[in-house]
Amino acid sequence: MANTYPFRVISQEETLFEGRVESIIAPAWEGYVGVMANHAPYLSLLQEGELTVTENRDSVHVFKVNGGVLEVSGGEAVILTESISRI
Amino acid sequence: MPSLKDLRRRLRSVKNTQMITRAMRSVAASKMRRTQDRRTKAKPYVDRLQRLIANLVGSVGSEGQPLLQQREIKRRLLVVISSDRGLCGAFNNTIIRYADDYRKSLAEPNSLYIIGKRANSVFVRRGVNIVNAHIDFNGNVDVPRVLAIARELTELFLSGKFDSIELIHNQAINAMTYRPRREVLLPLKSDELAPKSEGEEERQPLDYIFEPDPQTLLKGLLPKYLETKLLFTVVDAFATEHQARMMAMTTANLNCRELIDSLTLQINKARQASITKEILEIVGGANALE
Repeated sequence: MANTYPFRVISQEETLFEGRVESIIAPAWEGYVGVMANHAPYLSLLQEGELTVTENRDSVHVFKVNGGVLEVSGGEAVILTESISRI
Repeated sequence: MPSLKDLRRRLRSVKNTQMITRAMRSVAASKMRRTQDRRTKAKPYVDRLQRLIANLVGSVGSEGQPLLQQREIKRRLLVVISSDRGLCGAFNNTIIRYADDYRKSLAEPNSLYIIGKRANSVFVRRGVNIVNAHIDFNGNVDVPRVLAIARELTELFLSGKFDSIELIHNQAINAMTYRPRREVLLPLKSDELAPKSEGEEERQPLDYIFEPDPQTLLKGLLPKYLETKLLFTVVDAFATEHQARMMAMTTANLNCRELIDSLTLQINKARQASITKEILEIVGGANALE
């Protein structure tokens, strides 16, 4: 059982995801970046691509994002984006 | 004195009007709630974004950010937000008059960017220079479209066509009143982004891994802030529109009720008068026979 941390995906219209996750994989500025628990503070603009959110082995969500920003700080991660949809 | 038949007809029509105003009030009320709901939903995004940008501006400063650059103002663009539909009291007149007065008071040449059919038709008739007009929002906040408008405005600012972009819109003060308000959208003020919080501890230095470098990051985030700011303004303006319509319809409804009361009274009087007249005629006729 991997460690989990709180993660949110927020758009201007709604909060699309909120919960504890094991890991996320996001299309960061210089390529896909995986974030697990206890990641160092990190701030990156996002590119167009797929965002994979792993809650646990049985629950994986995939989103399509186009731009936005990923912030990891204080043990939690937040993605702000205006263009995102569930796949 | 109008006949009983005429009075009855008028009463029926006023009753219909009353029903319509009641329905429109309910519609406006629900639209207002929905619009305000949008604001609540967008709040977490804005708060987070603002904090992020404030931190960035605090640590890297505003140099090299064209959106933060104050230039000498040669041309102004005024974004006027009105409504597409009427029946909302003085809502549109207030904002149009305010915008027109302000426009005339400016020394520099200026153009308008219009949201809302009402303001558009007035300013087109007056031959004012209009850059663009959106006349089919119908009081519904279409987020992607508002964001597109924000990008268009940003482009107009960055290309040097306009040195200052200002928003003019109605803002609700409380549930009953609203007032026109003007604020500068572009250039963004860096002190608005990074307000000096008094009494709080110093903003902690950002010990982040940045991707790309903070300057470029900020450059990428500022347009988002701008989009959000415009979105909030539009949401507020539309919510105010629905509120104004709700108020107008409540008043109209009350007026209908008063009219119905006075018409009912008149009808009753006319009815009694006609009955009295008939009795008099019968009695008169009977007397004549004797």
